Amino acid sequence: MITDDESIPLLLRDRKDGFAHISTPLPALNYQTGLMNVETFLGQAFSLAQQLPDAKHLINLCDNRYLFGLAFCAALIKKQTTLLPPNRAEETQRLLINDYPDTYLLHDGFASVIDDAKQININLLNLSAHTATGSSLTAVPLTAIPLIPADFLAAIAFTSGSTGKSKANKKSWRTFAISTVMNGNAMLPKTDQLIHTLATVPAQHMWGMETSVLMPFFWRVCVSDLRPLFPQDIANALNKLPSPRLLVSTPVHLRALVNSKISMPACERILCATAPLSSQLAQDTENLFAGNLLEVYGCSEIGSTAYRATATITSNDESTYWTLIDGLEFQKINTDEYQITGKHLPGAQLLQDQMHIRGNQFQLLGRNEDMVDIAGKRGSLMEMNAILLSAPGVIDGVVFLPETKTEQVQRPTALVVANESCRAGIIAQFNKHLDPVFIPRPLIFVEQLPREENGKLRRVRLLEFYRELRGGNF
Amino acid sequence: MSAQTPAQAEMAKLLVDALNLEDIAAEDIAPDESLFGDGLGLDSIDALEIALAISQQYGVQMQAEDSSTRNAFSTLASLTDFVQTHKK
Repeated sequence: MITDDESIPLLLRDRKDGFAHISTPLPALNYQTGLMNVETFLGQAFSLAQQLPDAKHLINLCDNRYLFGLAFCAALIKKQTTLLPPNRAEETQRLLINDYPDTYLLHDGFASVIDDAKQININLLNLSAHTATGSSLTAVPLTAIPLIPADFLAAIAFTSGSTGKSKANKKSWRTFAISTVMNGNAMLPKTDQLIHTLATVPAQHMWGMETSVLMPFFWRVCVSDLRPLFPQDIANALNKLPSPRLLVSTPVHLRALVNSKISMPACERILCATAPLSSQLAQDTENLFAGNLLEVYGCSEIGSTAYRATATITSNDESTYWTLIDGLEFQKINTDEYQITGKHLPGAQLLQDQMHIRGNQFQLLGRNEDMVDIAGKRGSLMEMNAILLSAPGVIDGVVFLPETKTEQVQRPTALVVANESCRAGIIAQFNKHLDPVFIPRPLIFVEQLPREENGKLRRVRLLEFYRELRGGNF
Repeated sequence: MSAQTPAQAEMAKLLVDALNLEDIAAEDIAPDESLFGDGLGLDSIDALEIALAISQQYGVQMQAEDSSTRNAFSTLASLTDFVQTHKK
């Protein structure tokens, strides 16, 4: 499907095929809703590319999924690299512009944006000029689907790093295009029909980017612009889509759907990632949607990496294995030490989680304890710790994950040695740097932390201490 | 701060229980304080948890696309009114 190594087409789709379902009336699209085909999308992307300011990078803060994809595509056409920040906090925008000076902010008017940076609101532009009738695309010759140099740096996806500074994951167009073809092979139901996708996750993070933004570039997939949250909204949004349907989600959303007792239209395929999913919830989800669920394991360096049919897991050890997505393989570097390689990746990638490997399959033995995943967003506990300690008046403190209650959303918790009057300042410090879902709570004020004489704070002792606190008056 | 009505007190307890808000007491949530943003600082995952608890306790389904639901989430008072109006 994709053969040329030097350059790869912007997309490979039939021009008249469905590309997206628009439910939100958007000024940029002249409030047009309904089905957008590939041709219309391309016309709008070219129109937007012509209106983008000159710069090397842009931070894509579009909240609407369709506008996000449109802006990503326009940036590719104009050879600008999309920066994907780990969150939309204003301080994050500032730090990123500091590191990448030739950058502007592109947004759709829904996000909060720092006002002292070069910026453009896509909803103040008119993109329908070139696509008004759908017949005369003056700006785009019908034959021209641009070729993008395979090495072009399409995006840099930033993930919260343990040092407190974001880690930059570079994504060339080769990486994005080829991994999308691989992901489609592994994740999409086998059908000749157009697949209609709804995602409950944001487009900006890798899981949402791969499944709800990139997938329609190379597969017969048509994605809804919505990001519904409540079960009834998800049911309504799915009911607007024809069959076969695909739902992209996370354990947090699936648990709410299953517990809501609302009946759902059939979904041929449900994809779930970002946090461990129990086989019970996987089975309940399959029953609710009368479809098959695939749980996907991934990391920011590679993106989607492996999958398994979690609903079929029994006490039998065999069924817990994950299978690598075809195109990725393990490479042994030492006894018990492996890395993952793929022709489309810039280099071999070491894995952060502990695993037991057998051929192209593996079992997860332990997850990296620094990273926290909440509903498709990733945060680093060490980063949260650094922010806590930098807050005014904080003498000592720790951010940690308490022991899990199955399927409950697990929030970071903080123990703080400081005067209670510092609470507002600490919350403000977190707000400045973190996505709201990672702001620790409860925030518990204590006399001191259970540190050992050498200053170390052991997790076992910390959890004991926390249990005692909760057993008391908390 | 105005006092909570009995219905608001019941809703406040539901919020604290559903969200494990261990450092906030149900009776301390002011009826007209914002639940999201600068007030209690709740977020979208909380909204999902609250919606789930409300559907289980009162049989009311929240919908974000319905503007009355969006307004309902502004304060304890508005959330209580919304549920009292819609409950079966």
